Amino acid sequence: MTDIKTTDKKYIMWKKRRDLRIHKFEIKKKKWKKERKKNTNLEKVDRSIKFLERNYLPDRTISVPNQFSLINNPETTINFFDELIGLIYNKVKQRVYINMKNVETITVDALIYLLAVIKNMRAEGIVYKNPIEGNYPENKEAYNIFVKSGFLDYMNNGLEKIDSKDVSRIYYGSNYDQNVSKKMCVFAHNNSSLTVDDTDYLYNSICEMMLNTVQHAYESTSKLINNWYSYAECNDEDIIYMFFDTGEGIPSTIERNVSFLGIKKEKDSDMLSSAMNGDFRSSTKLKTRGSGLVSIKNSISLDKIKYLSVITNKASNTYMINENNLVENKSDMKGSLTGTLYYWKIRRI
Amino acid sequence: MDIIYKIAKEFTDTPGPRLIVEGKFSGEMFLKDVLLPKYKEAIKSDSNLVIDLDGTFGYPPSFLDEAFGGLIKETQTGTSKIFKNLIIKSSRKHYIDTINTRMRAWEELYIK
Repeated sequence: MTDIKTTDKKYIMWKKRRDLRIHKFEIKKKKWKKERKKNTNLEKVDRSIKFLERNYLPDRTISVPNQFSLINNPETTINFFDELIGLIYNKVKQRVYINMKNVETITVDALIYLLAVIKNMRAEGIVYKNPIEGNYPENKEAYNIFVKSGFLDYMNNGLEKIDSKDVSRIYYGSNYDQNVSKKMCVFAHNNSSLTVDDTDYLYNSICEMMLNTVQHAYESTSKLINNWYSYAECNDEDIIYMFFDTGEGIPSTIERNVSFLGIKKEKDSDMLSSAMNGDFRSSTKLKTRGSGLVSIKNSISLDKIKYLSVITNKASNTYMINENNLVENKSDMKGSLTGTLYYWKIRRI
Repeated sequence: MDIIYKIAKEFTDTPGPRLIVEGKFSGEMFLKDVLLPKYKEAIKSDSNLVIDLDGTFGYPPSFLDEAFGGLIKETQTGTSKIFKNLIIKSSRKHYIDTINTRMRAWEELYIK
C-alpha cells in the first residue's frame, strides 16, 4: 500500500501552505517576545543609562598661565580670561574646568578678576548650564596665597579658612560703602605706625574710586556687572592695595563721553594719562568727578605712595618717584582688560 | 556764643559720597540736616558757626564740594559774606584749602 499523502498533489500543496503558516507564526512569535522585553526592568535600566549619557556634559579644561598675574604678566593673563569668558558664554553646554595645577606664581589681582567673572556667570544664570570647577596650585607658595586671599570664601568648597593678619579679605559691592575704605585704612594702622591722619588720602581715594564705579554703572556697556573689589596685603617692606572696577574701563568711558566733540581717538595709555591729570572734566561743578584718579596720583607726588600701576582696557601705566621726580611709564597691550585695576604700594613704616 | 559742631562726634567719622541717593552720610545730607540749619541759626543769633573737621578718616572731595559749595547755592551768598559767620577748623590744612577753592567755584557758577 502506498502513502497517499506524500504522493498526492493536493497533499503537497497543503503541506506547503501549512509550512508557510508555521513560518509566519514563528516570525510573529519573535516579534511578540521582543515587545514583551521592552517592559522588563533591564530595558528600563538601559533607557536610564542612555538618558544620563545624553545629559553628560563634556569637560573643557582651560589651563591657567604659570605666572597668573595681571600686574606682572598682563598679556598672557588677559588672554586666559578672554578664552575663559568665551567658553562660558558660548551656546554649547559644557563643564568648564580651570586647571591651576601648574601655577607657580600668583597675585591676588588675577584672583579678583576671576572672582568677578564667576560672579557675573552666577548673576546671569549661566553657571547652571555651564558648571565651572577647578583645582588648586601644586606649588606651596602659590597655594598659600590662593587660600589666604579669601577667594575661596566665595566658592563652594570644603577647605578651612586660613586667617592671616597679613591680608584683608576681598571686599566687593555694587553700592558705595565707605566702611570698606575705613577697613583698608585700619589695615594700614594695624600693620604699620601710620595713624588716621596719615591715611586720609587713602580713605579719600578709595571712596572716590568707589563713587566712580557707582556713578558709571548705569551708563556702562561693560560685559561684566559693574562691581568694585577691594583688597590689601602686606609684606616686610610694603602694604599693597588693589582696587578693581569691572566697568567699561577709563579709555572706553572717555571715548563714549567725548565722541560728540570729534576728538581724535588716542592710544588708551595716552587717554589714561590725561585722565590721571584731571582732563576730560567739562564744567567747573564737575571738577570733582574723576577726582579719585587725580587724588591717588597726587599722593605719589606727595611721596605718600611708593608705586602705582593702573591697568584699564589696553593701557598699562605705572607711576613712581625717582630722584624726587614723578616718573610715568605708559604702555599699550595687545589684549584689553574689561574694567580698571588700581594697584599701589605704601611704605610699611 | 559760638555754635561748635564736631563732624566726627555728631555726624560721622566716615563721610560719604556727594548725594543722598549715592550712599550714607553724604555731603548733601550734611548740608540739608546740619550745615544749612546751623548756619541760619548762627546768623539769627549773630554768632559764629564753627565746623570742626578733625577726627574723621577723611573727606572725599565730592563730600566737601556738595556740602560747602551747596551752602553758597542755597543761601545765594558770596564767600566773603558767608565767612563772616562760618569758621572751618581743621588740623589738616589741605581740607580748608579745598573748601575755599570749591566755594569760590560755586560762587562763580551760581551767584552773578
